Amino acid sequence: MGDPLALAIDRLAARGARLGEVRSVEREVEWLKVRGGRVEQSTHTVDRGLGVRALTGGWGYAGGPAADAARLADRAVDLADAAAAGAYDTIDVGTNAPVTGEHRTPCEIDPFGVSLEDKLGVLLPATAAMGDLAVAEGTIVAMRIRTRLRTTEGTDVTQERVLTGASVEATAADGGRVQRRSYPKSMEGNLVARGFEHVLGEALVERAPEVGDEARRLLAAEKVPSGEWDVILDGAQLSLQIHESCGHPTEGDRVLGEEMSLAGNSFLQPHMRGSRYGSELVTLYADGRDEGAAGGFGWDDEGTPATRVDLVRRGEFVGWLSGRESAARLSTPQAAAMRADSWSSIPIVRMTNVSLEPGAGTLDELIASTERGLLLSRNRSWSIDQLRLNFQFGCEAAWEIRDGEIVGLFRDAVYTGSTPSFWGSCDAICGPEEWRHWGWAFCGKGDPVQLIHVSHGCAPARFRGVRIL
Amino acid sequence: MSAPPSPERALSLAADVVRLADGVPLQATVRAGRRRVTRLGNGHVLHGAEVEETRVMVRAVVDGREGISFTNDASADGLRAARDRAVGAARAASGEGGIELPGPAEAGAIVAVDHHDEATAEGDPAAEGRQIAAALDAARRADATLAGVRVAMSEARAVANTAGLERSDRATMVQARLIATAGAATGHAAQVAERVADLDVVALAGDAARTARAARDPHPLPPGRYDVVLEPPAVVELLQWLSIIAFGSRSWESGESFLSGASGDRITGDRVTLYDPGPEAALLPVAFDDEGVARRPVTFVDRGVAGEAVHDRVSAARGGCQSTGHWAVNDRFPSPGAHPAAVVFAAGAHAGDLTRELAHGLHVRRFHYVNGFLDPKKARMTGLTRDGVFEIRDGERVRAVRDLRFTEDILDAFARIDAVGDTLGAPGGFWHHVAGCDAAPAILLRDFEFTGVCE
Repeated sequence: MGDPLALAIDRLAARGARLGEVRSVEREVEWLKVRGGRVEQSTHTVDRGLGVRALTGGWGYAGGPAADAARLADRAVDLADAAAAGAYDTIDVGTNAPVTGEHRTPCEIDPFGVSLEDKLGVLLPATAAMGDLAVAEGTIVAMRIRTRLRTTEGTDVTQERVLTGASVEATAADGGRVQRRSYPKSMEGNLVARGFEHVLGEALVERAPEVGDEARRLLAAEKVPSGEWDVILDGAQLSLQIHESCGHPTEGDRVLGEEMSLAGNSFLQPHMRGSRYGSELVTLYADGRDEGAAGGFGWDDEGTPATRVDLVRRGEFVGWLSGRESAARLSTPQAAAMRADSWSSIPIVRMTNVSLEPGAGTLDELIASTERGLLLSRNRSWSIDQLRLNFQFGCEAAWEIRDGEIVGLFRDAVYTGSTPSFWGSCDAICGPEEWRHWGWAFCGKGDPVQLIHVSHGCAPARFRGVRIL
Repeated sequence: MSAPPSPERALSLAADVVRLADGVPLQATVRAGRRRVTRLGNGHVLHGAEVEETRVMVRAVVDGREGISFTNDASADGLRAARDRAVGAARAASGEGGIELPGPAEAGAIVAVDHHDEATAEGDPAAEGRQIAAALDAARRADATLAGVRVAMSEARAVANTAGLERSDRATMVQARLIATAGAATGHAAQVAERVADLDVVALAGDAARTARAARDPHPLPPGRYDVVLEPPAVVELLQWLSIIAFGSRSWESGESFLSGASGDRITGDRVTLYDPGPEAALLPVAFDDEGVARRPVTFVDRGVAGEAVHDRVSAARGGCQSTGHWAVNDRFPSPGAHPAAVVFAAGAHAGDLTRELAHGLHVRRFHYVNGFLDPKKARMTGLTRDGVFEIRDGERVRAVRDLRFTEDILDAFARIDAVGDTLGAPGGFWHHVAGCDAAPAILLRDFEFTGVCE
């Protein structure tokens, strides 16, 4: 059998595809979850295949084994032709200069070279160190994704990404009450594009006792009083705020009404460009080049080189995430944001690394400058409307701040707001010394749903007059 | 396309894996599937897609502990590598052990189910294209644009293990989820069926478009408590969250579920019966789980009284109860433990339109972005309305209403149900599955709390 990508490209060209993309993807994913001293789930997945996207009068996509490359190419063209009758009259993808090259994410210790015994040697002591709890859990995840993309325009790029994450979670229960606390955040932890050195650096065993203690303290804590509070969001929670209220509404396909059946629409319509999104302190951008960040790469799944695109600049809404077609429809620069979660999925507009530029000062200084407020830490629940305006988030812990000092701990903190007025109330952002990337493994979008990893760089920030339920 | 997935081939592949056991208790679960998708957006066909994949799960048991690997490489080398990974993981695992693979006797006799339709499995691209075109046209004629998806799936599944168990089945499913947009207003219609002949995409498009047109110029209403009629898609979204927080083995074991320790206690109103119908489901029934154990129906709430959670053989052994045949492993979104395949809210006795019973209230078609993690013991959830909310006075629709956010303790809310419709709706969920489908009737519920208004 010849090179399947070459076979598919040749077939696409022979069938007269205006644009053809052939993407081979090999994924290796390992999940290791422990609970109460036992392995709860140990799964190792190796998955490979070929995805072919063709543009004739419409778009078609076929996915399957690489051995079926020519058939998949034929099928993609057939589907594109069938879609033509209902497709847009004009599908403008511009002209991308062909690119060639290789890209790898940094990796010192191959996570797949670390034995399960050694991984359990991290998780089991960490969960044991959390003390007396209803449930003590730990998770380590490792991913390796190898892709090669060839296009009928001459692009040929090969990439390898290695990602890891780790977390511990403590559940304390007392009668009808249950409280949870996690570190660095729940499930996949902080997913980054680095090797097992990242897992070791999370120091789960060292941090675990504090996690268990805080879960027990939350059980005994008072519920946070409802009303208006000044809140400081820690990095983990702020990253999800960014994700839901900036990342998603700036996805160009949502703006064009193409995500309506599942994820919804966006309030950031074309006529909103130049309008106020947040305070002058707020600059939000997407950059797929961020080294070591979970949403990074060399080229997106259309072969567009990773780049930075501003989404909000000093509080003004200025741009969207986009691919070739959506960029043309929105008359906006290409954002290199077309990604698919596997060979079996069609690329769609996704977040990459959507981040908030840092300000100045440390978290201690920010707390010290807060007269009365709450430091909200790590997410527990999330909900936002389909335009990405009305949101409600629950956090694991709310540290009470009085006269610049942490004085106590509340439980069950839920805050709500509307995106522009919330970001408009941002009056302080910590500096580069507090800034880090927070990676998430399961951003869901598309229909059928795709789950992909993204990242958000941020430092803790303060928002005034936030409604606590 | 190639031939539709075959249970015989799936079983043959599973048997190939089992032959690699080399003295280690081994299980293979094979899923051979095909999926065709037409995605719509902004009144156009965005793309057509087809994907075929055969996935093999290999489960090894060493000293009563398990390790699991997945592969879609069905070559001899690929299967051997998957087997080696699973065995390695089992050897490294820690814990009390006690896992055994079920033989035919332990797996139990299964109730034969058949929801395979040849026409759905084969597909007819030309006919499907005409239906899609007609649906787009139907929306346009109603001055609306259509977005959405039509998905058709066929799957063959097989389970085999070294204890002599061999089972296979096949299934088809077709689903359409459509959103019509008229100005700033939207309407939704969705349906799941086993056979393509039972799916009327054009009718769904018309429904969605009519709702969108009616939902234009919404008025704001203040937050507060309102009597509501919730349509099946709204109720189904609540059921999906109840399943996540309470009906699975993991939350039951840890005490986080409101069913934990509450069996036989009244926990909500007597109009509420929630269950997983298993092989008795009217739509997409399931005969056995992914380790081949016979599935049985499970009642989570029986006329307001707490019942049981679902279990697999592992969680059942720990809990001192019986497996309900809900073993599965998800490697894409790890969620250990047994989970329901479907949750059904039992139909009631009320025939006709429940909104006629509202003196003053809201007709809610659908919820969006519900989250049930606020306080799982109380089933406290938040979410938003979407795709059409209407104010009702004296049984008549008076105007469209701006979307609202609710925050409610759902068990308490369900205790305020006054009437339950007599017809189940199955709109489908977030994921597309060939097995298991949530279903619910419309319900009339008093004093449902809305805590916010959308802009």
